[in-house]
Amino acid sequence: MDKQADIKTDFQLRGELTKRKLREYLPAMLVTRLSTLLLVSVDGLVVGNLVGKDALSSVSIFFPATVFIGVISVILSSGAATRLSVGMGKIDIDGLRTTRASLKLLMVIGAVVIALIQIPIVAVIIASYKLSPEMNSLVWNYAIGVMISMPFGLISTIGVLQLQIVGKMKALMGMAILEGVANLILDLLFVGLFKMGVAGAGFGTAGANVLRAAVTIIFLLKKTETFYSGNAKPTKSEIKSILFHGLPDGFSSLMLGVQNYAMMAIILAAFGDSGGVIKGVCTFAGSLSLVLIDGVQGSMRPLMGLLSGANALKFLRMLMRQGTILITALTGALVLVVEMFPNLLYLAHGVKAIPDNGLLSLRFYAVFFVLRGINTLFRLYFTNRKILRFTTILSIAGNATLPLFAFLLSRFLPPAWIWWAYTLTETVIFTANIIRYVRLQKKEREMRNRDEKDLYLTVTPPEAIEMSRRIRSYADENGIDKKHAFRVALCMEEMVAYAQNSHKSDDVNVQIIIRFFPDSAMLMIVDDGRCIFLDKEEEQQKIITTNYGLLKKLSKEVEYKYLLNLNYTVCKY
Amino acid sequence: MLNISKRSENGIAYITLTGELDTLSSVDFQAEIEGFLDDVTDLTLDLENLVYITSAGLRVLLYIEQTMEEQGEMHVINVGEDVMYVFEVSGFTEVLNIE
Repeated sequence: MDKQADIKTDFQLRGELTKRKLREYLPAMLVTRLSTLLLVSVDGLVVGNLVGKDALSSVSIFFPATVFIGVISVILSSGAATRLSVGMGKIDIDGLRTTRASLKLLMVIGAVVIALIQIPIVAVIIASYKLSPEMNSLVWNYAIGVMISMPFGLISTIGVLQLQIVGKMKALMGMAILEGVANLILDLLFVGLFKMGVAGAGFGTAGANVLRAAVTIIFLLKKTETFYSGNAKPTKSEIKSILFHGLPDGFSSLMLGVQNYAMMAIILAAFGDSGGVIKGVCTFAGSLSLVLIDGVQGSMRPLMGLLSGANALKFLRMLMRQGTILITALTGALVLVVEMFPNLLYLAHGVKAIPDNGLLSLRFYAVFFVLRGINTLFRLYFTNRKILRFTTILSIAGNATLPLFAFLLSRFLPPAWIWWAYTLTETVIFTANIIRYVRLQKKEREMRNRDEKDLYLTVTPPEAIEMSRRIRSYADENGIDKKHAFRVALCMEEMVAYAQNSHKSDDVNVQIIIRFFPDSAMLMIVDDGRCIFLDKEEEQQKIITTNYGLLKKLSKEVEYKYLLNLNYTVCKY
Repeated sequence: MLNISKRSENGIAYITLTGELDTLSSVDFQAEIEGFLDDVTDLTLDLENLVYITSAGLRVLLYIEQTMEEQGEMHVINVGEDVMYVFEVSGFTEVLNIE
């Protein structure tokens, strides 16, 4: 049998490492997102139950404005997260510091810009709905508190993604719970006890946001290097790069704002006054799906950045496969629950007399959750692969079709069918994503065929010795420099032994990429053994007998980073 | 896989290693050598057919070298190219008496 096929079959890339990481991050991310849901949905739930249906409508009507204003936060946080995670993957210390310095400057500018531009944006949006004087007054009462919170929301949003990419999931969870619970308590206090009505919910949101932003900043400063930029200065090119990388998510968010605004107008026209209530409940269901989608996306983001930075394409594909299965299962389960018990969501908002077509609307709406989840993963994948133009255009073109579909459906079918517009839109985006993904895979396959000497392998400690032999045999069979193969095989075995010893068990996951070039070789090892302690005294000793010490001596160059509780070692020969 | 061939007479011992002194076989080698070295004053280690050695193997060689330093002499002969490279980068050429 061909040795290459042999070694690839016997030690084929398996997903334990990424699965384990997803399992580690997912619960924290879900709790984090649930708390965020509590933050954004608690206002509707509290005023719906304690004030009434009109108050719930006013919160729902104001929602598109918050999405519009939040676009700046999304651009900065998403762009910075992508730049930083890819920088970490490349182990580019100077680049990381420049990114951090630029991010700090952008945060200050972003907060000031948000504080200034939100007032005219909100005024224009509210006026455009041509609401009754009573409803107009309710919406403005709610808006004041939320507008105070927006600049602080920018800091929190950026902080969330920073904590994600450095793998501080427990801290992230704690802060999100703190904010969600604070918002609930403040809402109950202002709305329930002080009888401030819908304005109380807005001020509750503001209080919770200020608290969250303060805690986030303190934590990032004290416990992470997120803001440590050394002597690095912000640069124009880095600022541009952050903004450019944040554009796909930013446009997606902007389109979401446009969608929400246009949909609200179409729904109010089709359903009358009860449209705000139906939209409010559907938005809550949509937020539940986002808890799951963002939870999976958030748990994948650190690994995706790391693997993209290392150009580990097979690992990336495996991660995408695992993420897609996970997101389909979770959102699919949610769709089933909504289809079976739609009335529960109305009851949760204090709506006992469900508007006409209310249940059917919610059922039609929920169908799109699965496709939305998969499309979100595609966007994360393409953004990390720097396929930004496609992602941005798709975000604009795909999302802009939603109001168009909704308008057409509202013209020719009964009102409840408007909600199918979401599924139709996501289907268009999904089709484009699949075509782009398949084309990309084909291109990568062709490149792999030209350079067949790449090996993507998974090894367990008991297999390391056999794998070492296979690597050397593979070199013999394929005319690869024997010295390179010998060093790669030896370093691999040393690293696996190190991971095993440091972990004090065989339960260590090790994934490997080996690249043989005509005059050089590269070995990349990712393992979940304990962090490697670099003992300088030991390194200076004349005789080396330790695993990692020998690995360093055998390699021409070693890059090491402990990221996301993973040892990430790249040896060059 | 490692084959260990050893003989000893009047304090003079000769060990031949064939194959690979890897993480696993080093443990066997260490176990086999411990009692064997007791009365040895002159040890020759023939590595002609040793094609691979890891840090675990180096540690066993260091143990043997330290034992023999107290008891007598040790010579390492017929070291192959790959193994010699490992000896060089790990500093063992300065510790072992390689001939």
